[in-house]
Amino acid sequence: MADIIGSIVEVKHIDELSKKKNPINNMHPLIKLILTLAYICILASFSRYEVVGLLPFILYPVIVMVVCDIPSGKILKRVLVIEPFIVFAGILNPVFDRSVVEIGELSFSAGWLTFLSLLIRSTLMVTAGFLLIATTGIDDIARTLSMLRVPSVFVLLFLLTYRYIFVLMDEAGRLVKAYHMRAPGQSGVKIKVWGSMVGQLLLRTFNRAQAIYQSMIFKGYNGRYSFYYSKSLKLWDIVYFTAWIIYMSAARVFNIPLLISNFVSRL
Amino acid sequence: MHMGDALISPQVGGTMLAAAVGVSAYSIKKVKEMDEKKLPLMGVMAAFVFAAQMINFTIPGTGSSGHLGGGLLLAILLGPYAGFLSMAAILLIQVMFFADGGYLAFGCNMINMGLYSCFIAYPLIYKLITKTKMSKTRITIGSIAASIVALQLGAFSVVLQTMLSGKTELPFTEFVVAMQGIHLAIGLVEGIVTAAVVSFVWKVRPDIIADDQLHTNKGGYKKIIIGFLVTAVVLGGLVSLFASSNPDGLEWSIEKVARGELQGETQVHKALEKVQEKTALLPDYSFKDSSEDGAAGTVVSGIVGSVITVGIIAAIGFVIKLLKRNTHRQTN
Repeated sequence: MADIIGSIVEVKHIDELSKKKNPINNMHPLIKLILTLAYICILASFSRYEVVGLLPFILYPVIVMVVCDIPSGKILKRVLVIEPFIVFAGILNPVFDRSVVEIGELSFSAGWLTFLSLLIRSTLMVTAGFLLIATTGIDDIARTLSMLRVPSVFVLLFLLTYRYIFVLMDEAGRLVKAYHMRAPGQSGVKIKVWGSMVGQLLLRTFNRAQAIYQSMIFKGYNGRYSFYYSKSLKLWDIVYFTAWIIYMSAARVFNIPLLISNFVSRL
Repeated sequence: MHMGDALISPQVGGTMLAAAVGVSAYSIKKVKEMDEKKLPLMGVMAAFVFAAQMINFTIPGTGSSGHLGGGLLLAILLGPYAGFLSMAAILLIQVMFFADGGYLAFGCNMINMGLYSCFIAYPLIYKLITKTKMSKTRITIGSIAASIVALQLGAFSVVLQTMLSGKTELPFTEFVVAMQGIHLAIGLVEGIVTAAVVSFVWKVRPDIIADDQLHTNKGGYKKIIIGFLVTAVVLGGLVSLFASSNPDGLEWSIEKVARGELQGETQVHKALEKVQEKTALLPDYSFKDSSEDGAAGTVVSGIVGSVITVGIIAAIGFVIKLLKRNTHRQTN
């Protein structure tokens, strides 16, 4: 239970980060969404043996995290949760891949390259995904979806689901904690207590959800998701977008680290 | 069974996304005919399935664990169209906030976890069994059969999408066998859990599970919503104390494959390697058959270049931080 509450708190915290005032947070959310998707797609288009060529893509998360003052520890902690699965999926690559790579005296399976590539790529992709949320709150995400002509039904469902999850988990967490504080040493809840406790929680949660729906009706909910987005697309947004697209395309076509090393070796 | 972005190529991801968007558009059209009071129910149900998906249950005898997909449950209670959309909402929140799945793989996950359960297993298997007569036995058998089929199709899709993307080294045959096997067990358990929930709903409010989706009930959905929130809390709060820390089905399959035969590359593997060789833009790495002196040099220069690149990026980050601190001090 602590894990779930902990991750819900982390999620809320990441959403809070998007409310800070900085150049990237103030940017039009559509730009950020398209950039993130482009970033992920370009990373995915690399061959599976590519390791060195992926490194220039680290620049994007670094710049966003520094400009927006996002604690790298928080993001890394979320990313590390995902890593074990990627490690698991790729750890056998050195065994599966028959081809061999040589560095001087050492030769090792090319599977290590695919494994490393997988690791770097997944870390960068997941980080970019989190940074999108950290710089663009859920409300802006919903507005962007609407801008992209996603039907209201889905946008509303998305927002409602998001809200109800917190409602549910919040109440449940508090009840369980209160119970455990009065029942030291117990790992679970006694069946007799559990029935009335859950029933109580149930009614409270349901009433809150019902109240949300009723206030929606009172405020004129008619099934449509209408929004007013005050920030218009500025020239700076377009410049930012173009600069990144050029950088990412260049990094995709040219192997920048190798170019740099060739340049340095010629000095 | 959520697929991550790292294993997907843009082509596979893009195609699946297009298919998923198509199905969503069609579902939205159908859902608009429903009464709007069901929207909160859809949200609650989605939150319930979300909570349920976070709890892994251990499958005895396999050392692996699975989690509820939820597609079939959503389809039974909300209908296939609303069920599919609720599943999509859940998956989107999971991608955005929990990095469970990826943006590129979003379409794949919608198809694997939503399409097969809502549009194939539900109408063709579950409804077939329960259409003529509803009873606890029929619900149980229908749920189990439909769940197993939906998960088998989903697991096979995962294998196909992974192999076609070519980002992994997993051998096809062993991967398929392991995936289908483990998801057979997961499907069985999901069917049982789904049946338990549906039986409860059927006892309290049978009209909700009526075939006629336009059938509205004046009594409201209160009892149903209450029942679901109860189960959601049970799953989300108390059962999580027993949440399994074992690897999920996909990881278990991969682990199992490693212990099995490793000799003999399959035809698919060789074919995929050929494709990969052709499409590799910058084949910087030399392999054993081409013994060039330049080989070692390339790899070393790769390392040098990497170090310099990362160093430059770190320097850029540091400089921006310094500039920010200076401007902040000046404005004080």
